[in-house]
Formats: sequence, structure tokens, C-alpha cells
Amino acid sequence: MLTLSRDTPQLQFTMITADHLTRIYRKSTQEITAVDDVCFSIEDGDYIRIIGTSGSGKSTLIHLLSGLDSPTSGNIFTPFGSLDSLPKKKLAEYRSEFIGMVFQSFNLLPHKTALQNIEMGMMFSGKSSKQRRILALEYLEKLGLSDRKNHYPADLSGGEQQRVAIARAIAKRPKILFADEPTGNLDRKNTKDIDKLFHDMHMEGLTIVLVTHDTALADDVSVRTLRMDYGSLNGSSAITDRQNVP
Amino acid sequence: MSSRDYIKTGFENLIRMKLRSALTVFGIVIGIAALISMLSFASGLQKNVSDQFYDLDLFNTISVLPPTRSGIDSSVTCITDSTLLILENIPGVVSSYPQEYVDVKVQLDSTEIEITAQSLTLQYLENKPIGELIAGRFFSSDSAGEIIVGQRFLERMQISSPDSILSRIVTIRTTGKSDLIKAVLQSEINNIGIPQNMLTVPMSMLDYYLSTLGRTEMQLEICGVMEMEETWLLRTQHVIIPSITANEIDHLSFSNPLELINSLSDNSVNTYSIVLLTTEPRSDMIAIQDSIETMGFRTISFAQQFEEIRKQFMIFDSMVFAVAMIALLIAAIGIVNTMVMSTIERKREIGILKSLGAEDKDIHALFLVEAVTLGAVGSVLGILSGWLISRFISLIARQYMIHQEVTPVEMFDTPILLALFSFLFGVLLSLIAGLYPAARAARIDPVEALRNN
Repeated sequence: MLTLSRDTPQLQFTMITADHLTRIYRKSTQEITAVDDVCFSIEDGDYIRIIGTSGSGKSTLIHLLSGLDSPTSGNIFTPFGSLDSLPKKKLAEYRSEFIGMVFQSFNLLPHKTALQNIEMGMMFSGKSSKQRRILALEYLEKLGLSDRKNHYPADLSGGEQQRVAIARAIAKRPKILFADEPTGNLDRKNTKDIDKLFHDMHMEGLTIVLVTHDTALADDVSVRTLRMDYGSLNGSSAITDRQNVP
Repeated sequence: MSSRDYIKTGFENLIRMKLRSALTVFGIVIGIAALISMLSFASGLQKNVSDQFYDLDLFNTISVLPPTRSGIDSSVTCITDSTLLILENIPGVVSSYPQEYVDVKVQLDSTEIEITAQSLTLQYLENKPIGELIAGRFFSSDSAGEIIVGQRFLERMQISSPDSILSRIVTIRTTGKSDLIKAVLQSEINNIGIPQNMLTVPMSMLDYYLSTLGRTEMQLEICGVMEMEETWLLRTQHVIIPSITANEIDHLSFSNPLELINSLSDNSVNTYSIVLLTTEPRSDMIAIQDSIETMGFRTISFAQQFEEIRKQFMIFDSMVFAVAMIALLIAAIGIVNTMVMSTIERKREIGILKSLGAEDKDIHALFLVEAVTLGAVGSVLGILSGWLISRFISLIARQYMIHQEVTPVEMFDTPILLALFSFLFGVLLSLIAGLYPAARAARIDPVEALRNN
């Protein structure tokens, strides 16, 4: 039940601003700069594609933006406040209510059915079990998985698992969806299906930040493309490419 | 995440790890069962002792004894009839039962045995559960020329039928104060060498005086036969003489030399070896004892003695608890092991939950719920097992006691409070055991967890 439409005239506002983000990993004496002084912002309704080779820091950037990881320096400003100063409870609220996450390896709980996995995604967002059940069934239907609701992840195909993971991420109705290589483990057909799904969700008003190394895919659907190289986001302050912006 | 979600998810996780959960629960069952059965045994032992105290009405009984030699003052030397009146007037005291023990020779027909006789009042016999009357009746009065005998008397007289001995006359002989005086005087006369003819008049006067000390021979009718209650707490003698009748017996029992001198100087005064005081229920025993002791008498209260026994039981309980704790400690280590293993295995799951918005406290609570659930299930099954084990041992022990012709006693006592305590203790121990794994799980870095797919 995504009501916002890309056709509806609206005012854009900044949802997340990354301000000189740097993330350095230290392993014994070695320092690895995964994200290096990144500045950019995510506007309401954006569909951002972050492309780059493996190890370029794309996933780290997603983890920082989603509050799963903390930057070595720099700030991330959100409607909840600056992430580095948020108390744990608020940070958990940010993750459970404001953002949804989709991973390359789906990250479904193997001992739970498709329905239960989707319900699990809403367990921390303050929804009652009844509400969770209604929403989970709704999104299963929306993503064409109604007949698979009682199947465990091991009984589902890769594409189906990823759709369950997407349903889990969006059923709680987040403001932004972060997708980290969502099609990385899928075949071409399933990749196209997931692309279309993201495109549709974006068209319905969901802000999406997609990390991928599949440039072909990005050409098809991206609205705004940012390239990451060795931790730096090229042209991040000046938006490099705005396609299909209404 | 609601409490219901924690419990539901915790249960699901434990069911998912069926074998490991079952083994961990089994460890707790053994620990709690050991705790329950051992403490039930300790409690049963304590209950048996306290029940005997209650049955014998000893919790509101104080024994009053004459002062020891070192405690003698000029005013108090022995327990007399006037002492009884004073004792009965102490607030809280209901009644007093004087008692006397006399070593006697009892002759029935041509058989004579030596035995200790006890003097008791009719009121005492009727009110105190010292045994069961199996033939005849109690004394007609405290001054009756009657006697009640017990089963040991019958055994020693080789009499099998209690009824056959009723109304028979026995002769009681004692070694009295008069015998002592005569023996001492005779020894002195012999030493000095006074001729016997010069002693005729003085000896007649002495005999008259000595006759006032009481009789050293008495004939009494057997009016009843009692099956005496014999416990380690109370031993009633097997020859019982009415209290006033007993005062007529000249005997040498005395608590201190002054008591002897006092009875020689004024033999009209009855003296007693011991007086049992019955107090009102829940009266202040210590205050009563204090007031008696300030008079110079010694007191022994069973309630006071029971406190000492209880202290010993507490030490025993503590030791039993310590042994059971070893089993519980091993069970707790089992919980820690299970939960830590679970933390390692479920690292990815924890990462996923955190990416979905779980707080550290949610993960912490989830693991604690699992630990507490293991503890609660283990405790309930442990209590049940411990109870069954104690029932089983009790059954065997009772059969053995019956086989050995010993009155069977209940060896185990599992009060509901013990079961409740064991349950709470098991749960608390599990909670403590779960703290470390829960904290460890809560600390898991979600990025690290998700990276290790």
C-alpha cells in the first residue's frame, strides 16, 4: 500500500546527509580506509545507485548510513539527529522505523517461514503481532509469494528468497530502503525481476539507495549514480547524474 | 519487542536446539533433584524430632531442678511443696508436676528385682502422653497404696499377660536415710567401744526418730499396666508410685548434701528431685526460666534445647545445601556453555536482528529468557524428580523398618516452601548463568556478524 507516487508533485527534502564520512579499519598495524571523506545527501524520493568494484567501500558506506557501523570521523545527519550522538535506543528506532535493508545473501532466518521472516522484520517497530501478520500477508501477496508463505528459505529459489527479504524490509514501511548488492546472487531473469520491483517501488514513492557492481543493471534503472573508488565517492557533492527526475 | 515476543522467540529458539536444550535441562534436573531430595531428607529428620517434641507436649514444659552444690544459697536448698506453690504463681505457669526417682527392690511372690521407681501425680498421668494403659486403671488418688507397672517390669518378672498381674500385691524395699544413719552410728560405736547395754535407751530413741523418716518397706497393689512411650527425649520408669505415697518412702535420693541435711532436720517436708512445669501456649519461656533461676533453682526447657538442636540442623542443612550446590553449579556451567555456544552459532542471526532494529537490550533479554526458560523447565522437572526419588527411597526405607520391627517413620519431608525455594533458586541460578552469554550476544557487532555470512 505505497501511496506516494512519482507523478505527484512534491517538495523534496534532505533525508540523510553524509558529512566528510571516513571509516578506517585497523588490523594490527595495518590501516584500511574503507570510506574516505565522503560527502553527499539523500533526498526524499531519490533512487541512488552507488557503483564500484569489490572492496571500493560501497557496503561500508551502506552500513554507516544505516547506523550499523560508526564512522571514524565525520557525521551522518538524519531526521533522528546526528547518528554519532544518538543514544542506542534512538539508533535502534532509526533502524527499525526509518530504514529497511536488503542484503546480497538475503539474510533470512533459516528456521522461520517466509511469513515469519517478514513478521520478524516488524518485531522491533512497535507493531502488534496482529498488525505484523496483516502486513506480512499483504506484502507476500504484493510480491507474488502468497503460495510460498509457509515455505522455509531453503525451500525457496534465490529470487524468491530475495523477494521475501525485500518484503521484510519494506513491510514496516521505512522511509529509505538500502539494498546492498540485492541481485549479486541472482540469475539474469531474477535480476531483471528484482530491478523491476525496485523501479516500481521507487515509482510509488520509496527512497532507495542501491549498491551494485552491475553497471548494466544500473543503466536500466538508476536515477542518480554515484561511483565509489578506493573509498572515495566521485562527484558526490555535485550530483553526477540525474536521470528521470520528475 | 514485547514480553510475549521475547518468550515466544526464546521458546522457539530452545525448541530449535532440541538435543542441546534437553541435555542442559537434564543437568539442571539432576542439580535440583539432588537439592530437593537432600533438603527433604534434612527437613524430614528435623520434622521427626520436632514432631516428637510436640507429641510429648515438650514445647511448653520446663523442668525445674534443685540447685547444684555450687549454686546453693542459704534460702534455697531443695524443691518442696512450698516451692511448688511459688512456681505455680509465676505468670504463664499453668501447673506443676513434682517427680521423684527412687531405686527400689520390688518383690512379687518369690521374685525380687531391682528397678528405679518414679513418683507421679494422678493429674500428670491423666494429662501427659507418657504411654498407653493396656490393663487396669490409674491410681485412685495420689495417696493410694497402689502402683502402676510397665512392660519392662513384666518382662523382668517374666509375666506375659498384663491382666494376670492386676490386684497383685508387691513389696517395695528401699535403702533409706535411716539405714545410712544406723550404719554410720554403728561404725562410730564400734570404733569408740561403747558397750551395747549402755546403748539400749539411746538406740530406742534413735529408732523412734528414724521411723519418722519414712518406711523402707511398703506393700502396694498393682492397679494398672502401661505400655510406656519410650523415646530418646523422654524415658518414663516402669514402676510408678503415687506422689504422696512415694513421700512416705525413706530413700537416699538427694540432689545435694544440704537437701539431705534439710530432710533429716525437718522430715515433715516433702522434697522432689524434679518438677515439670506446664506453661501456657506461646508464653515467654525465657522470662519464666529467668524468674525461676533467680530463686536459685536450675531449669531445663526443651524449647531451649530444641533451639540448640535446630542450630545443629541448620549446620547439617548448610552442608547438605553445599553438596547439592556442587550439582547445581555444574548445571549452571552447562547453561553457560549452551548459551555461549548458541551465541557463537547465532552470530549471523543476531546481526540480522540488529539490522532489523533490535537493540542490544533486546538481544540481551532474548538470551536471558532462554536461560531462564531452561532453568524454569529444569527446576520444575527437578522438583518432580527429587520428590519421586525421595518417595521411592522412603518407601524402601519404610519396608526395611517394618521388616526390622521398628516403628516406620517418614524420612523425607518436602514442604511446599522448599519446592518453591528450589524453583526460584534454579531460575535465579539460570538467570545468573545466562548473564555472561547474554551480554556477549548483545555486544556482537552487526557488521562483523553480517560480514561472516
